Amino acid sequence: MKGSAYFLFCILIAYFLVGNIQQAYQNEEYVENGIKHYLIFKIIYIHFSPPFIYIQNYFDKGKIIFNGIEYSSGEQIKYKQGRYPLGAILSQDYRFITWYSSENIIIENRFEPNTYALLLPPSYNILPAVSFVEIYSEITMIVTDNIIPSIPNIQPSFPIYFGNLTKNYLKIINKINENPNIKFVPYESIKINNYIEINESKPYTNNPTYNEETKIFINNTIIVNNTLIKREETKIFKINFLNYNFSEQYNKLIDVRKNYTIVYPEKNYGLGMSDYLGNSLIASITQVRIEWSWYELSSEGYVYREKIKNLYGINVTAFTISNVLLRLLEVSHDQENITTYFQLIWSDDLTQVLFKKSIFSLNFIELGKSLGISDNEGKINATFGYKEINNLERIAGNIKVEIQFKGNGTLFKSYEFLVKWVKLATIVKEKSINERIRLKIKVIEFENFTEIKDVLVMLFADDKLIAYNLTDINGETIFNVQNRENYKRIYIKLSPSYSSVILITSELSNIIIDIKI
Amino acid sequence: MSLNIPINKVLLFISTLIISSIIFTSFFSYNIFYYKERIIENYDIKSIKEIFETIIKQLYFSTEINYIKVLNIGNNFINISLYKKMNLTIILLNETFNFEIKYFLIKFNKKTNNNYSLEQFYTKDDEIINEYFDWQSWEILPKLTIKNNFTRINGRMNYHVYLYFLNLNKEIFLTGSFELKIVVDKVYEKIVRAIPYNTEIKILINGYEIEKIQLNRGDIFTLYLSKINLNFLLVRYG
Repeated sequence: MKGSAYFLFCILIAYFLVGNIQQAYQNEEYVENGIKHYLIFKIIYIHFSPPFIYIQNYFDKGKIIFNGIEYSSGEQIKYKQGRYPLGAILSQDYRFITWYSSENIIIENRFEPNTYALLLPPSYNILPAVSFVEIYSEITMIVTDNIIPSIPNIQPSFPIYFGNLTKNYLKIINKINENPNIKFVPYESIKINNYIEINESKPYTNNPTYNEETKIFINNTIIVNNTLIKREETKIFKINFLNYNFSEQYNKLIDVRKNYTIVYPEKNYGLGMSDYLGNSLIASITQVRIEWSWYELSSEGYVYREKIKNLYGINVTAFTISNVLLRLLEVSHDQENITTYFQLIWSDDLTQVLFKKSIFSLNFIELGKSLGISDNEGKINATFGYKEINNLERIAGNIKVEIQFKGNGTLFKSYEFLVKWVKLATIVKEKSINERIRLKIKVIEFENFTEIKDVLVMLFADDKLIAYNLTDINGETIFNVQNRENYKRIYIKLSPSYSSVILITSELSNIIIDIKI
Repeated sequence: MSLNIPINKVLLFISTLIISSIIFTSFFSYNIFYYKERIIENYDIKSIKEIFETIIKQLYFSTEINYIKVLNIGNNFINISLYKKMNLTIILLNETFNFEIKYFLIKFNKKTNNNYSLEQFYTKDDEIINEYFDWQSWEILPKLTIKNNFTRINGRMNYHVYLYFLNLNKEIFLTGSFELKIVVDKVYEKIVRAIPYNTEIKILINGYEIEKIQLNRGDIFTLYLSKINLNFLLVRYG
């Protein structure tokens, strides 16, 4: 008996499923219980004209092909269940972004202009009414200009908000940057938080009511111009569009005073910036539909009532995807080591970056090692030995440096930066060694004979420091010291102070002035 | 038992190797200085002079200690004495470097000095000693040696000038039988200059220019100075 019951239950389930599918695919006009269903075609055009974004709801320069027939924006047909080919007709001036549809319509591939639409039985949001009801489902094509306008300068007027929604606030949260909503590096992982605030009062009624219901539908769409990427496992897609739907229901009429936070990405994918360098806009379009419905006692008995409030809010925020460059601020020296002080800067406006600390280090390619850790002002100090520099037999050269994420991760579109080093040379312009040692010394970069100021010139006699001076703006300094002892060996050593290049002392700069052999 | 035979053979082989190496080492260490020593057993002052010549030439390039053992030179004598002080001057851009060269002579059976011309005090080729010869007596004068070359490294001309001269620490007179130890102490100095404008580097002896090198802006000039101090030490005398 028990086995037969299970068998019958399975048969019932199978019948139910097959019945539903059959119903979904039958090509019939859907008329039921006095409710007529229609399908409306819409084309929405989004035009980016910095710093503004325009949305045109009925765009007349494109057509939708549904089941082989062309429809303009606003046209409607009777709703028939089934799977239909769906296509877009657009001139070269415009570009397809995505399909958008009512809940009962499934677009098989929303991001392809040519796809299929699956029209399922409409979902009933209301109970059958005494009066005649028409219900509309929608297929919407969202298009934009084929050529995305360049955005030369982001005005400080961002973010822009318009709409009748109390608040629609967009915040891009980045994981490494401490200067949010402004600048990002390519492929930087981000999170987008969309805060929505609704403040709407329920409809007022004096009459007795029953079967009250409040439904809140939220549709949130993020629109960008190829500036975001979606990471799905190892695959990366450039995206124009992110969508999120949410609804909740109450069995009474309520004041809708609510705050919602919609967070992208969801758990099944990651979100990041793309490699599209430059200024860009991100738009958040939020549609909120509040449906209050109830039955109200009137002279005709209980009559179905409803109040629908459509709210929308558009927030446009500007952001920049920029590369990180490296600037050598100064170089300090001691006897064995060179310390280089770098500043990370943005490639677009060369301002200093404000990353969280310990995000970046520097890869000294020829030295074969990573040095330094960035602080929260984008500064990185790296110390290495003179002996580590290759090709020191030359007069001048470069050290190749690359910015990398701490722990060897390569920065996308990273450049090699060349830190110049040059050998110093000491020129003896005047020399007289008698009772007094009189010397006029000039310190130059030997490559191009540029005078170097503020170099510490130390005068030694028999390994004893007898005088020291800094070079002046002409790279010169004068010594005039008493020759107290009969020195055997008088020589000069240089110690470069801070400069913008690595100044290398060598036997060209640390010279013998006088010897007795 | 079968294992003992090869082990014995191996041990025998190793023992032979050790013993032979000990014998060789002791033999070699005993004779190593003996091989370097030059032994002159006849009165032929010409042979003695040739040995001195060879040693002096070697001194420019090595720091080896040399030994000469003369069993008997009869009535001959060797006098190693200072001859003349001369000023070596190097003019480098705005600088002048002055060094004193104490020239010395090795005289064989000769009591008076020969007069040498300035050109005989220096050489730019391999004739690093000057010899005065007659059938009764000989004289050796070590010269100031000047060598130069240049290399081009990464587009830069690098001029290298090498100056070598000998310096006698103590005069000595040798006769009869003796064993001489010749100890060398070399003092090196390297003077490097970057050349900021076209110029000439000059080397002078007693004010006479003996070498001039044309240099251009951006060249590198390196002067290598080598003063070779000689000590003739009598090990035994009889």
